[in-house]
Amino acid sequence: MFKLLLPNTALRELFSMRARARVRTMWRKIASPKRLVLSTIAVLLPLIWIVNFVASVLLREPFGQETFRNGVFCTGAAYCLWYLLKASTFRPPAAIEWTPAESSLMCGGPFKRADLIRYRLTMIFTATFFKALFASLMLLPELSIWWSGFLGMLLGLAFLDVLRLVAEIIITGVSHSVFLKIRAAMLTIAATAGISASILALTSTELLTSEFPMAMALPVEFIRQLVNLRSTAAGMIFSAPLLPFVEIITAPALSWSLVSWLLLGGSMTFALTTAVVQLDGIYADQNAESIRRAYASIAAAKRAKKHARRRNMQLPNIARLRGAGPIAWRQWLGARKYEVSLVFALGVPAALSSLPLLADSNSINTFLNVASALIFYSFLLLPAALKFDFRRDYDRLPVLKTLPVSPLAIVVGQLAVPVLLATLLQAFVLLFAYIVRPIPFSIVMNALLMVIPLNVMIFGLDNLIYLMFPYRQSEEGLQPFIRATLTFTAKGVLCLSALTCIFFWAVNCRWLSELPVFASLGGHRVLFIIGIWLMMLASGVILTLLSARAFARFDISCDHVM
Amino acid sequence: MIHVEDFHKAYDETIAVAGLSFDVAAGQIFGLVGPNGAGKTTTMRTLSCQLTASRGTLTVDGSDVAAEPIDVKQRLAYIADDPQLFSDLTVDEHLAFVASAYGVRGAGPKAEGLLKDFELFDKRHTPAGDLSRGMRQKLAIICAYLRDPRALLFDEPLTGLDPHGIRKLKESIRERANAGAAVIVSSHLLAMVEDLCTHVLILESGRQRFCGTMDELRTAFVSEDEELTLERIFFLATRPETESAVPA
Repeated sequence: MFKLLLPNTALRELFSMRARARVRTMWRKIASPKRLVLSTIAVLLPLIWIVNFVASVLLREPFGQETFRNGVFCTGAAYCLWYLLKASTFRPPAAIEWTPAESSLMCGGPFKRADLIRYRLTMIFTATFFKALFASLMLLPELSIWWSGFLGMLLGLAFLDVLRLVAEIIITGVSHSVFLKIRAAMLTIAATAGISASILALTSTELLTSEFPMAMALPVEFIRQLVNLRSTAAGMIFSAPLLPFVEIITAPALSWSLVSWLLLGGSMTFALTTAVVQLDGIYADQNAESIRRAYASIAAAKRAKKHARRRNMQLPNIARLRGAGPIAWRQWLGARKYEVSLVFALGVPAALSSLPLLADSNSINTFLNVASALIFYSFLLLPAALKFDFRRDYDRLPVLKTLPVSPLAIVVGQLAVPVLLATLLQAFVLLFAYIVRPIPFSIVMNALLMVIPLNVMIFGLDNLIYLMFPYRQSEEGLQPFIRATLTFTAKGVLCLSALTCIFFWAVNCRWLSELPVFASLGGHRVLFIIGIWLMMLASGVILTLLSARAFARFDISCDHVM
Repeated sequence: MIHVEDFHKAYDETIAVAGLSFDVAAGQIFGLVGPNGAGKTTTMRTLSCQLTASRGTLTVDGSDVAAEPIDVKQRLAYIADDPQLFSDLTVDEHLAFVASAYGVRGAGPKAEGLLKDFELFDKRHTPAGDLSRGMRQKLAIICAYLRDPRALLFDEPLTGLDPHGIRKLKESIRERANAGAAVIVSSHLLAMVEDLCTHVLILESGRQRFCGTMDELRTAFVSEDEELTLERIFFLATRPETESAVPA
């Protein structure tokens, strides 16, 4: 199988050597005395996670067949839509990004382009294998035939991963005007689905009769309506490519029908994989041709420029702010390059957080629903949408280390832009909610005061984890999957700890407010808000200081892999 | 062996090389000199198929760089000034990969000899990420030599090397050229170029200022001054139009 996927012997050997080397490097890092505490956490977290995983597989009630089928369909469709939306909004500089070493030793070697693409596909499929194994183990109670469930997951996930690659190759290969048309089409499809589901959710009787608060009931109803959209003509057309994989995963028994679905699913994945290799070749040739065509106009423009009058060079004045100023300025320039994509990326959490405004209920409750939805989506979506910090600076970390700026100033500079953009978004949503559903402005002010420490916390946490385990954003393979799982678990543990603190603070606020020292504050509610604000501020400061420490301890010689 | 004709290369709106033409025959050591941004690295990276030429023809041992890149890569080795290696692979794993990728026969003894020559034998089980700058440079050179390429391109090859390494590299370049390889060396170390190269090409702002043997170079820049060194000729050939004085 491995030979079939990667026929080139040298690349096959390289793949094996690099896999072994990764394990070796990972072990060296884990065993390093410098990272003993981190390594202990990194070992403990998966252990907790495995125990939890086994317990949930053994003890939980299996979902009904229809719910399971819908769930598989929706997860696949969401995955697919996410990939296509991402590719059509954030145009990657190259469809397949190579590390400097890969570029030098592999792309510079006597390999066919197709072999290099197969190498990358092998990396992706290896990760897919483990993802499918994990998913099928997790869904063991629902699977009637375990091996067909695993094969369905494997083929389905491989199909989606290759589809992503196809989308990225096409997006990077087409002209700018075609790219804009693709983006408009994709956003129209997504917006149509989102708006339709929102309208259906808001007008459904289930929502009106739900016993849960609006903020909880509305997203559930929204997802239920999205699932229902699948039974419409358009939904059936869009979800048709996923049908073979869903049929394989949910097959009740071994039958000829299952065999035919397996053949169809396998053929579809194989055909798409072949298409990747072909498409890459086509676009590589087109790219070379366009370079040659463009030269004539560049040469002509150069000649014209030579005769143009020269102006005195001017450099922008950037406030130093102990070194944080230029760092933030550089990230700001980066953000400005993606301004159109940013509008779309931030539009999604803004729209989702504003959904409660459409419901007919008490203004204060509606505002609180908007605020809590905003916090939830800020944790969930903003770190991925606003990577204008350390996370996009993997290759620049050695340069940052050489700057005559303190680690704290560097961290402050790196966090400034995502915190600012997130704050602007949240302020916009909260003020919009205030205009649509007027409430006392003091409540809005309280919420606005909370967002800055909240954002420092969100981005400080993400950057702290990143600096402890830095990696290249475009990295493929099993490691990013494990890392994402661990990061998510760590965030979950921290959120749980934060909620526990808030709970204890809320319980103790009433009697504390009666103490003479707090009596002048004007009641337990004010004390609660001040306490929460101080807690968030302290957490933000601690996370920033810890990030600065992690950056100071970051060692290029052992933490940075080319 | 290496043939470049009317080569042009533009990056976005910047023209890096304009109308470069030269030939490097087997056994020649060709020095490529010029100020920063003259287009030396661009030329070498295009010859090694890493960049696409905007115009012109480039061939290596009869194979066209644009049409037959795999043949070109098989026959040519490019050693960059900052060699990029797989940090987590060890020295011998790099050599195993190169031997397999380029189909090198009897790679084991050859690799051992090269590792000993370049004093890297004791480091053969060390990951590339743990090597010093000079050792990484040596490993990149060994990887290139292991496959006996017909054409060798060196971009600032002495960067990071110790005196023993420098001597060994210079000797090995001469040996490779004597054995029939075409060698291009790009460097700012003009004394080294003068000492090592049989031919020289001076580039400035992407344009060819001179191309020929060292003797032809001295004839072209006749001066009443004392004996002309390559350094002096370099300043004569590349001095900005506004400057009249030649640095001493």
